[in-house]
Amino acid sequence: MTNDIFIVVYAIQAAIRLGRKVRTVFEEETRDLGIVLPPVETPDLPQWGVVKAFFEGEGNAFVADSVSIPGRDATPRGLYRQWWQKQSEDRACRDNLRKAYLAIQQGLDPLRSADDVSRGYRPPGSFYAGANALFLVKQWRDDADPKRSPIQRIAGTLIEIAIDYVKVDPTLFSGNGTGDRITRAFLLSLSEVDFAESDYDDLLLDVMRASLETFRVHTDIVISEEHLAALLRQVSRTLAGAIDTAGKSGDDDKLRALYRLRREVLQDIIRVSAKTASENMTAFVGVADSCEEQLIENVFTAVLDTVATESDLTNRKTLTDIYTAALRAVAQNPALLLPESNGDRSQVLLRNLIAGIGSELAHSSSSEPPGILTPELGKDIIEVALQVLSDHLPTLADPGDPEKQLLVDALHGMVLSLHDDFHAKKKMTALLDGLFTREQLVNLTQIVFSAVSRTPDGLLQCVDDDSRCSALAQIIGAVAASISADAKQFLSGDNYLDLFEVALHAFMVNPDRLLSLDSTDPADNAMARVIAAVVNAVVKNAESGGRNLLNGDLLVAAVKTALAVVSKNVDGFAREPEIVSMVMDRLLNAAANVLANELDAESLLLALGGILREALRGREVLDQSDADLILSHLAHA
Amino acid sequence: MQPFHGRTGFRGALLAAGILALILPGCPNNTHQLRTVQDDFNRINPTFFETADTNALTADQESAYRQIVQKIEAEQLKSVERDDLKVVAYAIDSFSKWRLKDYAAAKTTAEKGLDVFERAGLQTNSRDYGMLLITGGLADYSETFWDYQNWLRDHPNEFMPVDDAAMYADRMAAAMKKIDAVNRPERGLISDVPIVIYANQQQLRVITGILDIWSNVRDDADQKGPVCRWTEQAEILVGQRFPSAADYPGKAQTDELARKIAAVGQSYQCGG
Repeated sequence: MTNDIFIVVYAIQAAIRLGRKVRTVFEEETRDLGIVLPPVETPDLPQWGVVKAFFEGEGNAFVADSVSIPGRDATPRGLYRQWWQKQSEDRACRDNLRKAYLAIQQGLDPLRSADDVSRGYRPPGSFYAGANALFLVKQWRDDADPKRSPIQRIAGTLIEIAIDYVKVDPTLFSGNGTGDRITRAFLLSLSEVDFAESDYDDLLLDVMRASLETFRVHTDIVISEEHLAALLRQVSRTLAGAIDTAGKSGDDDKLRALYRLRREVLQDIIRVSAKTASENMTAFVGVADSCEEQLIENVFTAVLDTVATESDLTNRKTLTDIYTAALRAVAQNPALLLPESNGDRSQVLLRNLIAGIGSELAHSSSSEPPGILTPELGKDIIEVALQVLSDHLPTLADPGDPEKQLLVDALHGMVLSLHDDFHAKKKMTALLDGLFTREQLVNLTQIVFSAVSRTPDGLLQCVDDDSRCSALAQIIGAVAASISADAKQFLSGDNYLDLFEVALHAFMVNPDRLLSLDSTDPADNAMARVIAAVVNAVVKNAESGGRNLLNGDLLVAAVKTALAVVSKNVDGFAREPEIVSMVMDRLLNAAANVLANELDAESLLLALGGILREALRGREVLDQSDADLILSHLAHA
Repeated sequence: MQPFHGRTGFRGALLAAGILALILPGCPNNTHQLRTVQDDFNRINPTFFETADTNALTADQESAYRQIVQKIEAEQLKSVERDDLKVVAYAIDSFSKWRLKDYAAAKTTAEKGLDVFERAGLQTNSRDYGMLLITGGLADYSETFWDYQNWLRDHPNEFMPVDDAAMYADRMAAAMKKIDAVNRPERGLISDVPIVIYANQQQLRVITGILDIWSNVRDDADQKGPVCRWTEQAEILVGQRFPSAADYPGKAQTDELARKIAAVGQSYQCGG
């Protein structure tokens, strides 16, 4: 093996140095190349004498006449009797007998000895096959071992590739140049790869080309030959394994996707792998085939498993980004692969996460109308998910059940609750689409995933397995419902993100009182009614000429205050569901009129909490004048 | 017969393939193109035994041969500088035309190739020299074979008149004699050179063709004489023209052909 490596690398150097001599040798090699010569035409049917002798002898039963024997049943006529009788009158009959003889001999072929020449005729099947074998005319004897190693099979092409690169950059193969080292690393990587068949020679050559191109362009990547060899081995082995599996299962779509990946993304995969490995050497260094050494292979496998299953994820950049994110996450936390407890299922968690996210986004995109969470966000959402998962692995992953994906369930809840079907108002999706940027949607996902990581059961548990009844869906739905009330757009996308956080926090503080999980309509729950009441009051006040004190962050603060107060007296709110609206109306009207001097946004918010608290205990407190009701709470500041 | 390997030995492959790139500055591409034509030619021929009818060309094979002829005549013959490479090109060209049933052109091309070979006084290219020598005989045999096949097709129920059979057989015999020219001492080719073995195997095949002609004559009495003469001729050919070594390239094929022909002689009780 080492000798082969030396020869290949030396040949590259030799080919470059030989120059004119190289040309001469090549011309002579061309002249002496073996040529396969075809045979002259030969008859398709056996010679008549042989056929006739057969039917007169051991094959006579095929052509014999019926014989009548006294006391016994007559023998049947031979199958070819009719032809036999006419074989000297009609050449077609003779030809039929020759064909019949051929067929008989082919049927009897296994019973004949190939070496038996004592009889007058031999099985024409092996006859003709042997006689018609093609002839390779060579100038020299070929004693090559049929079981050649991958290096020997592809050595010639490797040298071609290397010489191609020399044209571009002669220093690549200057003796110990980058190209020399990559070639050695690549050849080393073949030493333990079971590519006994030549089916994957082209793949290996693609890996070689991709490696050379990667390191020619990205000169900043520093990685030892040994580690590069391990990396290339893992990449080659993984991709070949995926192609083999897809081929054997007849999954043509997946095969096509894998070949496209090989064509378009392989260089990026090698670049990302080498760069990540070089930046996280402690994570990726280990003995051969150790868990550390297999990280790249396992992550690549997880990503490849999603190829073709979620086609929207598999454009070149998205796939590379997903692979990058996954590899980095795993480098930070190798436990993401659950290697020790799952053996060769170690990439199941990662694969299911990536595939699950892809599936949810694809479903969202294909809904009617299309949801706002789409596959274009896939790479970013996967990155967020990996980071959250990595930081909260014990909470979010069950080593005994890697198929369970809480973050995917959370995403499912988001997709559900942000869609028209979840809301009585059917234009929710359009509203949301106009409100949130791509970055804000990713941030929303971050908010949700972080919340789920803190209280997964609380947020994701469903009543009767109906995802619409999960707390998460109800919370998101509640906030989303308020968007339609915000006709004046007092809240921006970022404000709504803050509102989501406020709502999630309020739930954390009071997980079982602010939401009603018996209903699938988010508008039914207390949280939604509180939010809507605050927003509606602000909008109404603005429409009637009010001072527009509460918008943006201040409006979020008002909702936060209202939720916090109601959370401490949900029963009071249940008795007086309009109380929040009433208090808000009083305050905003006062701020616009009799207490315009005393009330600004801050003092209004200050008074809101106190007044609402008292009003929830008994609405009669609102019977006071504005000045008496409001100023007393300002005095307490 | 050893399985056909489409690749050369390891070290030869390293050298040949490494040199194959030939993108060093100043290297012409015509040799590389000739190499490509050789590869194309080699790719066609193993497919002969993938179809039931091993005599007729498929559409793909015919197309492939035509492209080879076109490439050689449009490019290689003009641009190849060395005479030994020209001879390679002529040999492939003539064989391709033979397979395309362009017999006159095949012979003309072979003559041109022989002319180059002899004027250049080449000591190499024994294989190509042999190919060029036998092209005429191969072409004549094939032309006769297809004329004979056409007669059979046009007369499906009739036996061939003895005179007609003799005519076709004589034509094949004449073709065989041309092929046999490769064995003449003045040609400088010895019996264990692969092209000579190939040529002599084709002679055995020609004999099977002649024997088939006599299958289509009505009476055994008319068949026996020629059959026995030709089976005896085959025996002589095997004894005189093939290497005496216990093994040589293509020996299994030679033995198979010889056994087949001998079986025919035995069926007519020739020599007894």
